Amino acid sequence: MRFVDFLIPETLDEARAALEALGDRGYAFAGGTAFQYVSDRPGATAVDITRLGLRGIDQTDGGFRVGATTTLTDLVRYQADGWVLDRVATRIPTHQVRNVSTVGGNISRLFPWSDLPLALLVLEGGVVISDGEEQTHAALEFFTAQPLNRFGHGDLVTAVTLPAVSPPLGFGFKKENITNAAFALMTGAAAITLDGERLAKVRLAANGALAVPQRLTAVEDALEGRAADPSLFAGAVEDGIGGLDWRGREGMSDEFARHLGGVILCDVLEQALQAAKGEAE
Amino acid sequence: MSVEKAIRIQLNGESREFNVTAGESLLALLRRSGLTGTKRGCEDGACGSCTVIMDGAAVNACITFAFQAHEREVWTIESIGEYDDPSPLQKAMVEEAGVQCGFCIPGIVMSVKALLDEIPNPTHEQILENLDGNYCRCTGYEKIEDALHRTIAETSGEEPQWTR
Repeated sequence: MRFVDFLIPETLDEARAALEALGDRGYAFAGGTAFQYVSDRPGATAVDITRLGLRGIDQTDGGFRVGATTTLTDLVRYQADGWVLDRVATRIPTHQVRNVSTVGGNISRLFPWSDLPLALLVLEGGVVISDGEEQTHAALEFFTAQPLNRFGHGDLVTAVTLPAVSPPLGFGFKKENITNAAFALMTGAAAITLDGERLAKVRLAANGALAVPQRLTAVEDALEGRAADPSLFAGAVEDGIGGLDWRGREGMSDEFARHLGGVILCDVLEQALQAAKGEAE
Repeated sequence: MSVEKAIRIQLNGESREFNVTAGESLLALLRRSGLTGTKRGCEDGACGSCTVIMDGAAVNACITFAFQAHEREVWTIESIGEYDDPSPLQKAMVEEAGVQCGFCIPGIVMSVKALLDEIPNPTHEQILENLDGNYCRCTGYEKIEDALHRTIAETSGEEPQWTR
């Protein structure tokens, strides 16, 4: 994206007013690393939102609120019981990019390699949008379409929310790429809530070889209510992912993408189950 | 038609004012200002040759717009040492043969400086994490790691947490 102008507001109200006045020409701009993959638009103006006090992570009742301009490095370094986004952010290359890329930027435009949306989908997180007043949207609703298309002029993501993860809730995440600094070939995330020896709730999502992050509800439905037995995962995954549009990239065939997807999804389910049981990974 | 606006950057310890357009990268601004030690490599945020330190963090100048540096502190390779008075890391790079063609080295030095400023005696894993965005296509990293090992021993006053 080539911008023709930039604005550097100092308050949220100023930023929202600028975006509202600019209409289709205005782009909320934080780290900016995703804009190299966005097509040019005439008259595009960047509205720098990094000085609005939206950076930081707060513990809330049972979870976390992460400000929209919190960097991926902030996610990696933050430490608290139940915090899992460090495991996701540390796999987003490179350290220079993690130092400037922000949570809001990572979730506002979906790519095949988007990672944080996967975690928010399986953890049933929320996305906080301000149109003057803040409203929290469920991640599942927010990521059903390209998020930016849903924003009104002047709307701004101000934060995301997610639960603290501790048994009987467990989280799993895995990403495969050719090199540590490459985009993901395949990414999977899972969250499992146990009720004794049964899988009370299963949330599973994949990306990388899918066009956008997707919840895999057929697999979830096949597993929920069943015994917490990892030997059940392979069959449920095999049966549940066949209808998806797997697309190989970087030399990977569609068929292999589907195979790799199956392997990684079983791995993240096993990770999540282990964590839900409170067993060390 | 791009609008030109004034920004102010604390550049290598000196307050400087620049007129920039929205589309100008920090890399382009630095190089037209004579700071050509910051290298133009991939211009895609992948190779790390253009790494500078902004507000204490290593960033790719090629995918950072100049306006993002407004009222921020930016340090480039020119601030690290002189030809006749190199920093310990630069000296170790030369003496441990960590430099072959040398193109990537300013970026590697800036990435490592950002790390050592924060963690004087990092683990090997932390070092590898902080080199994930710096490509070297001729030295092969082994000699670079030798130089880092030596630098950490000299500057931290401690035995490095890893062995070569």
